[in-house]
Amino acid sequence: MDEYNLPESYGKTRLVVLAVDPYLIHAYWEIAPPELDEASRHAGKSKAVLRFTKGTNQDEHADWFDVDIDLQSRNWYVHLWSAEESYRVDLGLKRSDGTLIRLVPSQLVLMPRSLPAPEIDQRPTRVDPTERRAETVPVPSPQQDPQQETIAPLSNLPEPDARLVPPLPIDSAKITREQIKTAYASRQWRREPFEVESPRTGNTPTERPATDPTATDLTAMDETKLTTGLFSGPLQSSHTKKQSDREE
Amino acid sequence: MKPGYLALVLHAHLPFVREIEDDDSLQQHWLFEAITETYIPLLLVFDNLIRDRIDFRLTFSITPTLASMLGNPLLQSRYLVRLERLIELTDKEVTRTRTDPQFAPLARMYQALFGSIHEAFVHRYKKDLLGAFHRLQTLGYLEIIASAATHGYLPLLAVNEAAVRAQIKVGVEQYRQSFGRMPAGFWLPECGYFSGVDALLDEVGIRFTILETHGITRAHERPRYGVHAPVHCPSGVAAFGRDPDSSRQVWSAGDGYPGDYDYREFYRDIGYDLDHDYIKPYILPSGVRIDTGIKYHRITGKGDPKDPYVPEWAERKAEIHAEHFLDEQIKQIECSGRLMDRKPLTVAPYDAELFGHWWFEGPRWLDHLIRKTAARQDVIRLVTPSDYLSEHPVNQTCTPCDSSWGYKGYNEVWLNGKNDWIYPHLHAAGLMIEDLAARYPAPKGSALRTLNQAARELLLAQASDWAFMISSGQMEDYASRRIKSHLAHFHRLKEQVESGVVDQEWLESIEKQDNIFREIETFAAFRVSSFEI
Repeated sequence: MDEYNLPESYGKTRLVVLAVDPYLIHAYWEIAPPELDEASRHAGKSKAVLRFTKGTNQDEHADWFDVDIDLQSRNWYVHLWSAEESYRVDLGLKRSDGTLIRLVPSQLVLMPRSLPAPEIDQRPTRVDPTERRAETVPVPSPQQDPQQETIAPLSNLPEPDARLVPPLPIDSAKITREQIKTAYASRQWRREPFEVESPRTGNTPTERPATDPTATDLTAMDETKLTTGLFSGPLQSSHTKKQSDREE
Repeated sequence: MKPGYLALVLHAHLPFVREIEDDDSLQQHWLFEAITETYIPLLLVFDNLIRDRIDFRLTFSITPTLASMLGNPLLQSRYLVRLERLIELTDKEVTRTRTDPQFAPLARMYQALFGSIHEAFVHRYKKDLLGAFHRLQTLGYLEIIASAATHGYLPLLAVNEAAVRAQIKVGVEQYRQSFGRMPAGFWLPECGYFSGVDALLDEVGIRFTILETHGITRAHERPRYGVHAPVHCPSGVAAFGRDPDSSRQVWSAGDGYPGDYDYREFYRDIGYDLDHDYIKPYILPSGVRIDTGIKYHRITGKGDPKDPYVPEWAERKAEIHAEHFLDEQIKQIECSGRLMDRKPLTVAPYDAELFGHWWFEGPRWLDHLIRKTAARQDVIRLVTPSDYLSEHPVNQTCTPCDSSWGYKGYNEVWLNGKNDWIYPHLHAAGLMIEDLAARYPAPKGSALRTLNQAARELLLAQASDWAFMISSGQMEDYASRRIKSHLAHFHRLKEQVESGVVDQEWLESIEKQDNIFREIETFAAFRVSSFEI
């Protein structure tokens, strides 16, 4: 394959911000030299900053903070202390009196959530497979799904213990908040290392507390079990991994 | 106990490998390995289930890049040459190991295995694997879902809505051409969801997609049933969440099934283990050792040495693990079913290449799992997301959380200090093609040809594979060169169309080299409204 070089710049002033994760933002920029010259003349003694303004509206009372940057680096990573915020970012030159000479604004960036939302607000919709329009429908009352028994009920399995069945409805904000607290406390726990019984039965499955029959909040339960990054990536990773293993 | 559903989803993907590259390039071996070890073994599992009248429903995504390679006659014939050479190697191995009581049966096992793969490829499927998958969909066993044109990681392309739209439209159009109908589902590459992508899926008639667990659990509003039922995005597209238990049982490095000591060791291939002169005809012509697919050892334990593989032990484990997986599913149904007004659902998506390639016994595990599930239909049934939505058209409405199935669950794998240099270039090209689309509303003749090729080059540069490879440090140079060459082609094609001077000879050579989506108006896909499917 021939060697190709990409343009150093595209001659257009631009600032783009991208969420890396709920607490990390990446910004990259290009400032056309004439625009930078003019702003520098106007600003006088100043330093380059990224100004993060919270919220979707640019009102003057919105919270903001500045991050000093090196303009020549052309990109920056900024750690945030809260998730789920939205920001508009301005790249500008900050004078010693605090005023900002704006070089370029970014697009709006919405940072992802890092925890489940606290409240359950049921808004069911019916989507007709043939028509694309969604229609809001009343909240169904629990356990009245007419299709529930389309598969023959079991006869030989015991009925669930009535004491374990939680009272419904389950979506009170208070209970949910309590459960999140518990769930997130438990997230800090590390799973015990898997005990190998004998060399030949390495991963023979054993009972593990995969599901807690007394749990009442499915979202919190699923969240506690989440392990990220469980995929293989492209096939080719095998080859070089092997080569590097062999080199070690 | 209320019965429940299990939706197994296999995602098959390989990046587009240019046929112009060497007959014997490493990149083509990725495709050939996956055909021998995963795609044909899975097709044979499905065929045998049908032969034995076992009813099943499974969801399968075949990405447009993979579909295009599977359908390419040149790659098909090169694959056959490669497979026949492999069979020749197994013949030599049978001779070489004939006095060894441990390895001789294993050499014969591979001889028979690759012989059956050859038989299936040539006679049963007539080299047309895409057709074989298509047939399984027509018969009602598989639901094949679409994916983005070149597996672009959409959250990081979203700066240019036109780029995301083109990835989706071209992917859906390629699906229509391959499978003769419109897809109901769409696999978001790397499960990469961003708020609003659902509306773009809705534009092309997609009914559902699949997200990583926290895409659902961290949705707004909070979902009532976790990942055990889908939610409707604001657009009406349903989002199904990945079940964390079934991911962990299969994937976990520590206690996942594929790490069992009885299973075949992936990293002990004779391509690396045997004398260089002996193995030379079967590795790369440059002498670089690669996997042959012939591996004689089992995992045995942590570290070396490794003991010989015992197929009977591995087969037994595959069955035990299938049984365990099913039992865990049933327990989960019992647990979550009590809290739900409907039958609980487990969605278990995996890379298809896990089965057979990484995890040699994976297809056997799947075979056992499907048969065992068929025997427990009173409590659990296999469904596809479409089946589920037909039964349950009413679902909670939420906005899923931006997420992916990559490490840490967001964008870090595809955006970090190693690969962040690619985005200014991809986004700049995205703006340029939007601008071209506005300036050339109805191009014709060689302008249209040039613009279509420019669009193909941009799509190829957007593949998530390159950012992943750079990030993981594996094949990093190759990935960087692929991005740079596609973007350089894009810029040169753009200049030529703007100057009105198209170098026809060069254009033809580029069309031949990057010959994907030849039947699709790729340039029009970057326009907002004029690309009708």
